[in-house]
Amino acid sequence: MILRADHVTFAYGDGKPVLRDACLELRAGLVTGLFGPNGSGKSTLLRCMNGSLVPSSGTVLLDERSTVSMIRREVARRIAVVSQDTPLDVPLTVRQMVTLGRYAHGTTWSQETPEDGEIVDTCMARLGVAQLAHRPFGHLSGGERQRTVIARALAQQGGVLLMDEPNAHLDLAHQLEVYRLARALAGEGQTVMMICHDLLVAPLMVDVAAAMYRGQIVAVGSPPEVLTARRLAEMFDTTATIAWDDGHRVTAQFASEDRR
Amino acid sequence: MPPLRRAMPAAYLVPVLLAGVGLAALAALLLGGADLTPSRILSALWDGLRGQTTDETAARIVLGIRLPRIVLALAIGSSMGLAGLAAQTLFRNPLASPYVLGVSNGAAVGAVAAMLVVSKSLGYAAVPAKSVAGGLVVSASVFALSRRSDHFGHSLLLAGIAISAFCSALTAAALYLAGERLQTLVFWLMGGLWLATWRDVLLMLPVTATAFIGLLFLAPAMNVALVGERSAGDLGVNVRQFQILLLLTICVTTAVAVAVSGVIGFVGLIVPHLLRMLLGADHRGLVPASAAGGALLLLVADTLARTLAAPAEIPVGIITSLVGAPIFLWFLQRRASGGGWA
Repeated sequence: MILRADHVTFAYGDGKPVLRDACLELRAGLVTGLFGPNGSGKSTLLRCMNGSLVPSSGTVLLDERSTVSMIRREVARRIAVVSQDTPLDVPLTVRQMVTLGRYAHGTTWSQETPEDGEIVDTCMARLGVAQLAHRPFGHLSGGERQRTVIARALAQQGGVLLMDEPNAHLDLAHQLEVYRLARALAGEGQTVMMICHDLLVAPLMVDVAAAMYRGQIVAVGSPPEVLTARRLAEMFDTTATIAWDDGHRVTAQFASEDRR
Repeated sequence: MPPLRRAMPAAYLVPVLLAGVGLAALAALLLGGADLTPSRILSALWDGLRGQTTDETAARIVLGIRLPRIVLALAIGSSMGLAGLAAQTLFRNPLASPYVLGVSNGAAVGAVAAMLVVSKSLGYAAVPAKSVAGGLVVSASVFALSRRSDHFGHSLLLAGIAISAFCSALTAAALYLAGERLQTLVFWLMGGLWLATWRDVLLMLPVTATAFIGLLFLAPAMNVALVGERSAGDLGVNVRQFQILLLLTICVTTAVAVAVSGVIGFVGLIVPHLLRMLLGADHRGLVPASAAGGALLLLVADTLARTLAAPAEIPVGIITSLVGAPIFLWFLQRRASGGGWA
């Protein structure tokens, strides 16, 4: 599936536009990393791309169909989102939480079918939360919660997975697992996008990097092309320089006033 | 918080609650101020079913007074349980009830106005219409005030609290001006079913049935709504439409219930809350359980209300609140020690 934001402009209420003419195409089989400073509009773009925010101008097309014209259930069957704002006080077990990912596939009266159960079990196993199945969601560690939410998104079985900082609460080993999962899903033909704040590991793991700055996509391409020292310095307003060599080695240099 | 793995399946609890409703209904039919033997009562009921009348006194009491009152208590109790469940889901808050939306108070203002202005005596026909109108006006204002917000549930709650206070003040002002009808109004506001007629049943029962069927349909979405507005939308719920349907259910059931019985507290708060502790968070079980639990609680409270001090009548609102408040405090204690939603 191809998900494309076409000249999308969006503002919250009557405020200044958060997105200004943003264009981004996500292709099947690739992991796209969306990079940019806080407040540059990354999460808002993600929300527009799954149709939960309606752009004031421009369109978002999923295989040439506008996501705004689809009903929410239909969108959820095709696009799964891992968001950052799951409340902690959800009175559900891990398994119940992951089962919610099947909502869009069920009819209104349906109980969980054996097929749903199998999908839920597979997704929990894939994220390593199967042994937590009956733990209350609120009792989990940050990383376990995050992996549960990702498992729920997998259970939606959409062709597109949009993740908003999926690594925010994860240790390095689990971060690498998420990247591995993203690449595996892309290998299965899925369209994967993740918003990344980490400039050291993420650029080595994603196929395509998109740089977002002040509500616009300013560059799309291979990570070394897009995340050049000059662009990073401009976007993040920092003198730190990060560079990759062909052996996928990354070096970071920080100005003396930023260091120990 | 009781971990969900210990939750009891609704398939066990709902039949128990229904059996309780059956027993309570039988007790309510047999108990009362009038000196009637159980055999006279049951034969009057049997005659009524066959469309005959052999014992006119018994028929008048059983078919004209006790039976409509029982059916009305069941219908109102169910609708209160359902409206409470809907409110707690809408606000993602276990302490929410239709009262915080201001609908009850709005309906009370409408009813009080109807009693004071329209009817000389406590004429019943004008009251339900005005009360429903009052409840709906409040619902519409609360809804209009909060719909522009990104956090719909949150602003709805705040607007509801403000409007609720405003309506309480209007009711108080009306009471201040009521003069000789003060006592009637105060008694009515306390809530009770002593004026129950088949006409009230005909008004309430379709509303309860519609709310029940509607919430059964919404139950899977209510489960998804537990994860918050934004994630629920990502998972396929049309959040705005869902919230409007819940709000409509709460407003219409509450307004009609207040119209026929006055303001009866705590049923809508306690019943879904207690059931959530027993059943866990799955609304597919909570909807039928809340309907049955609400019906049972109100019928028992109403039977106590009319028999404890017979032939005098205690407003049922006093009983539900006297029993409800301690249970509610007990919940709060458990919540404080266990944390969590349920």
